[in-house]
Amino acid sequence: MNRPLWVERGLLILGVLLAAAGLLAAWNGAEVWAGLGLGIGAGLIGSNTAMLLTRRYYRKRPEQERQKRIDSGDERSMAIRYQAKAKAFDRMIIVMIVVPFLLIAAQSPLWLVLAAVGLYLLAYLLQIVYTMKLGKQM
Amino acid sequence: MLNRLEELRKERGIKQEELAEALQVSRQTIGSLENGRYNPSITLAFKLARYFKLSIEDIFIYEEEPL
Repeated sequence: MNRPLWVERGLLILGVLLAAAGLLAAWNGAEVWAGLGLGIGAGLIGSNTAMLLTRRYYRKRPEQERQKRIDSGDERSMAIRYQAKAKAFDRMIIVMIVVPFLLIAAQSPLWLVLAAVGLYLLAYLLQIVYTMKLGKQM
Repeated sequence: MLNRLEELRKERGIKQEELAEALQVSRQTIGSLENGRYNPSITLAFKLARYFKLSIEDIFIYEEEPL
């Protein structure tokens, strides 16, 4: 709950507008725009509704909010989170190697296969960039 | 890393929750520290030492691994 309240409310409204636009696009047969609007809109609605409800819940329970803040900033919790992210990245990199092959097997357009390869390379590039950056900071 | 955390805490009649509250960490962190599953950061080690009014070496036992 680090974002200001107006951001969450704004994103919720944006989500509703996008979902409505998606429905309108679906009505007019524009499937791609319908999918995008409904997908992004539903995501924004869901996540921001959850954030607003959580905010309301903790406003009535300040002691629980304080404990939650302590638990989330707790060094052991952070260490677990960072290790979990690192392990998940290691596993996902293997999955990302497989995706271009699946796309080729599905006879996908070349640009899609190359985009998948590009994303795989981007993940490694980001790892190198952060390694260098953190090496200078620490 | 071995430590005397549980021993010191029980000597003073302090619960894990109370110690966690005083150090602003979770109760699970205190539990993990006591059974040696987690080693504290230097900052947390200093906070523990200050809380118990002891030195870090009085609380944590560093044993070098044989070469």
